[in-house]
Amino acid sequence: MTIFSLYIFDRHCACVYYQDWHRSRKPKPAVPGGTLPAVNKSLSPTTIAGSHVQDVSPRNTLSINSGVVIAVSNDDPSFTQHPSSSPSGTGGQSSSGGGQSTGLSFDEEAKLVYGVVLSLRNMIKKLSGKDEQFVSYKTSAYKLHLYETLSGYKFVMLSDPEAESLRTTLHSIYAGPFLEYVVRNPLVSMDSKERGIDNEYFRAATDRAVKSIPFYSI
Amino acid sequence: MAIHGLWVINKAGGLVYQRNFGDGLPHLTANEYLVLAGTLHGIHAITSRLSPSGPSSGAQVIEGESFKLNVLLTHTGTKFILLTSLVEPTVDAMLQKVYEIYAEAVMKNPFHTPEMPIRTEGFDAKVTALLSGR
Amino acid sequence: MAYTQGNQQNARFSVLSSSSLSSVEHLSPNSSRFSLPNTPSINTTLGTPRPNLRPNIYDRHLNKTRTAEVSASSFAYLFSEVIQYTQKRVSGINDLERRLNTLGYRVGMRVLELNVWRSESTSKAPKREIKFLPALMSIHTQVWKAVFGKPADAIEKSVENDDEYMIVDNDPPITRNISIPRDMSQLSCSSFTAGIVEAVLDGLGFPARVTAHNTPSDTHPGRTTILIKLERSVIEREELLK
Repeated sequence: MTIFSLYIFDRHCACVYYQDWHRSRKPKPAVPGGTLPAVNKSLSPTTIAGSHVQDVSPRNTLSINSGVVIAVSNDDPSFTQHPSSSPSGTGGQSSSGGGQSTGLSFDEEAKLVYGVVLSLRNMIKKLSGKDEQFVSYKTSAYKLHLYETLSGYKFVMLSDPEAESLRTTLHSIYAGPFLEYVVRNPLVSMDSKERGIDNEYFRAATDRAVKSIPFYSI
Repeated sequence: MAIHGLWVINKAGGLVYQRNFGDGLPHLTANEYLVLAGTLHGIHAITSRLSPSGPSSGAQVIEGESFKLNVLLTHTGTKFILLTSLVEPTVDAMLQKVYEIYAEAVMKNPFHTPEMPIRTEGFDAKVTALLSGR
Repeated sequence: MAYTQGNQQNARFSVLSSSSLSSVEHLSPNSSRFSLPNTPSINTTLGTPRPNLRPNIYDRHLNKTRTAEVSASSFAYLFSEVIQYTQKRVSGINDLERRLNTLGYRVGMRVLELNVWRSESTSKAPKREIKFLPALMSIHTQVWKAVFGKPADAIEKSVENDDEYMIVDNDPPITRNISIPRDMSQLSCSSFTAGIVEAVLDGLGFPARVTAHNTPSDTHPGRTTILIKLERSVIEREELLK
């Protein structure tokens, strides 16, 4: 039993946050312009090599020594890190040994996830004839869970196929870390269509919440 | 425990058979079912590519709040979809049985054209016998 | 009953005198010998027979009937193809039934031959039915068992016409998987069976016209009646034999 990844989409179909745990097949970094800034540092577009010191956006001035991901500006030309060599990331993030790739870049993957979720949500609504929510689907290798807030945010989590429903977990991430460190955080611009919601506290709190899931294990 | 419906989707994504059982779910028009089947066919292909670890099948079970879609993909690309209530432990066996009936009554029938809509009374009758008594 | 030499007599002897690998091989559906056994490609695909194993299906003796079974599915697919092939080349339901009848006739000729050989060839006093009712009974049980693995379900005599008899099968195995489309509802694929019956009757010296009809009942949706309309000469001969 394990948890693979978490995506958060806003009501404008954009992926505003991504985090992963025991993921053996990683997506390739997003192409420039493919994804919003401040979604996930390691999967943001890479640019030509240079120094990696200046990955501090003017607004989010947390110390880089903490070793946690903080918001990365998409238009910061000096950002250089590859996902496999990233020294940062929250402790729970799986190590760089995966090596295998899905063959998709992160922005493509996020769009596919969103497309699947949206299509299934509409299909379930249509089939039920009432406002019934799509809850999850499962394949031989993983299970995808959806929790949609009234404000249109979609929390999508990928887990082991045998996992129980993670709706309550997703709800608690929404009610806990998300409200605390995103909604109440004046430095995060929600609904901006320009930036993601990634910040250090949110990432750390989400990490704690996921690791407290009973069947979470390495 | 309830069976709401059965779909058969051919390997090109066309809905070749659709049956409702009972009134657990609203009955849609034939056209709406065709569109939904096409969508499901596409989603099924995408879901197998989104695997976070190792190769994956396409979606096998899709759950809503009160019902689920159970998908059986055969090696020949035909999909059997059974719409049931959430708790239905024998659904895999039932899908296999439906596949078996399909092989018997549809594929051995000289008046059925492969990949075309199934208008075979024998299939109807056997599927009814299997599923509607439940 | 005397053993009279009919038209088929020569053919039968030619079969007996040749080895088991002769033209008689592609016989009835229940016979294991569906295709020509001496075709090398088939034998090689099946692999060469290993020692200490029973002889493969092509090399078994003709008289071994107990294990000589073929897959019902294989036959269903073959028969399905036969019907599709035929349907492309005919101009209507009557034509299709006539063609199926013809195909069945070819099978029936050989079924009769094989059955008689199996049951009478070792007998010191071989006999043959010359009365119609015993002949009909033997079709109902022996032929049906040889071809379909079970006897037919009933024999009926028409109350209206004294030259009409019926063999009823509640669930004919060869049409078990066939659903007739509504616009062809009077078609019966058991015309093939009718052809077999016609050939057997012909071979026994009871020329008749045999047709198949769907007569579904509530408990047996596939119920089929094989209608036998005997020629006048047969009726007259029966009268004389009384």
